[in-house]
Amino acid sequence: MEYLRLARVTVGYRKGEPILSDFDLVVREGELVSLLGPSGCGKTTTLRTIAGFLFPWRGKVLLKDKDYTRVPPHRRNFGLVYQNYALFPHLSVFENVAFGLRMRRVPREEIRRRVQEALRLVSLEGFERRLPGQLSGGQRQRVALARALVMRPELLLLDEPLSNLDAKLRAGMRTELKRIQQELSVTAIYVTHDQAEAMALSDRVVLMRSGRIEQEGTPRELYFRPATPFVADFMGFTNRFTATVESREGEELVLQKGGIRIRAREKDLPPGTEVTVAIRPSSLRLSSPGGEGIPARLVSCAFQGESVQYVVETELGELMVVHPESTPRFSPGDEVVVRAVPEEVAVFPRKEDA
Amino acid sequence: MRAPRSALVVLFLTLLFLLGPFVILFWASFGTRASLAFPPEGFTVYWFKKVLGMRMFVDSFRVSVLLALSSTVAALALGIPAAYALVRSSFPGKSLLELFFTSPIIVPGLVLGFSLLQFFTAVARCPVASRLFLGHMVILFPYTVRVISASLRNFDPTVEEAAVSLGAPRWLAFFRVVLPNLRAGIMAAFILAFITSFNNVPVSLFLSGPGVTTLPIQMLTYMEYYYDPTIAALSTLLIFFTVVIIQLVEKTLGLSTTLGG
Repeated sequence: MEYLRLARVTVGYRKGEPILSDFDLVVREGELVSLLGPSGCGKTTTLRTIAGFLFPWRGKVLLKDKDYTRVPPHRRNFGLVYQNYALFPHLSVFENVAFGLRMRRVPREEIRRRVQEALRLVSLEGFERRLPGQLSGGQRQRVALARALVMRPELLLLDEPLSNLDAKLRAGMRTELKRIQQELSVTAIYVTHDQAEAMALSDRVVLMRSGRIEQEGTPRELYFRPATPFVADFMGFTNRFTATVESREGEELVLQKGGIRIRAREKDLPPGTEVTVAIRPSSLRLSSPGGEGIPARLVSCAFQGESVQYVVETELGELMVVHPESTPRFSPGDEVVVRAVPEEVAVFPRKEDA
Repeated sequence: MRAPRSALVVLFLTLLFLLGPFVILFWASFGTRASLAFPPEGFTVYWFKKVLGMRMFVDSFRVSVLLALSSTVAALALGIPAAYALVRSSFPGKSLLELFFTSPIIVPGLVLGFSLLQFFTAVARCPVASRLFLGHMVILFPYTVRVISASLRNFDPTVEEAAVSLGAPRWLAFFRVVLPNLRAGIMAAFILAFITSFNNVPVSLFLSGPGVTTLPIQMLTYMEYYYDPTIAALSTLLIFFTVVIIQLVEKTLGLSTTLGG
């Protein structure tokens, strides 16, 4: 069911320089939607507009069909969690979490009960009297989360909440965040520039680029079916070259460049179309010379623990290949053949995008 | 790492140079001779008794303290919102305004004092006490704006936003969240402004009038006529007064955070 809608929102910080123009976004109830994109793509602006810190110049913000466009931020019950935690440094953990309830004049007893409950939810019981300065980064972010959730917000807005945590902690918090969000079935919007984070957390990903939605869909859709070269690039299709559509063979499209043939799955493109081809390093396979494929010469290989990263020189340019193996099977200077998994080759007609 | 011996020697010499005059002053204030001399002869607390009994000093001390307190509080009351507006918003001409706010620090005190005198006699005639108050407020205002701005810049605006998102209107968020976290900055501004006002000579010199004189002006006037240990005794008392005040502030509010932060 539709829950939040941004309808043709135009907004910005400086007059005449909108960050979003006629921007539409729909979020369904109970869903976690990620706004993903490089810095400056407008994802934080979108979040701030929903939070009410920016008023749209044009367009509407609707929640459950109620018009929130002009509602000041303190009258919206939206929980906010920031990258830098934004805890009140002079207040104890308990008072931080209780702040919103006190603002709403909730009775004392109920405050106590609800704060305890929220702290239990984020596994921070016993920390009530600590000051934020006495907590670790992960603990601070839990307090921030509890502070937002204790209000039973209609919408949870998260602005890169895990970016300040170290990699190990981030993975743990990610799982926990997802668990809590599902347990409370709170509708959440998650801003991030980290593709992996968005993949792991979201029900739906909205990939943004310079104030527009480039593609939206489930993590799998974006990961396997990028709609544009930009999305492909963001999703790790780092090998890129141009080619021409030669023919169709059943389900497969045969692409050709300088006598080299590559197969890609589906897409209705007539023969002769100029295309951009994008392939993930992990979708390429190396084998000894012979048979169909792109002839190549190995330039370098780097051991990465669970995989080996090869760089090969081909007529299509340099390609990167990642093999899930623990010992390199080839060494620099070797003549090899590169093959692509047809289902994982992304093809885009050219001139649509750079 | 331990500092090399030569650095310690330099430190010691610097301390001696800084504290030496105070030591001499302190010592001289106990001398029995009627003129200021070093080393002093004998030992007496007569000059202290004399100072505490002199109306001119007791009255002007009271004027100075009241003036410093009232002008500091007023400068803070204006300076906090001004700093908030300067730091948290951007508008055309902001940097010009910032420069303007610091101008009383740059303009020589004598020039400022003279122009204030001109202003008060030619444009806005008012009692001596209130023109001293207004004059001092003008000098202190830029200090408060500067110090508070610095501590506001260190305070993350998202913290304030978080308070708003939790249901606090802007003004309440300011009082509940911003102000308590500016405490260190406000204390620093308070001390700086109080001492600046208490020590001020050039502006007070022009704005003082019959019956209402600040202590530094009174001391200068006295020294024009007499050169006895009275002034040394008074200075000693003032040093102790300052030390006590700073101690009190440190005990109650934690000066290390005040001046360190």
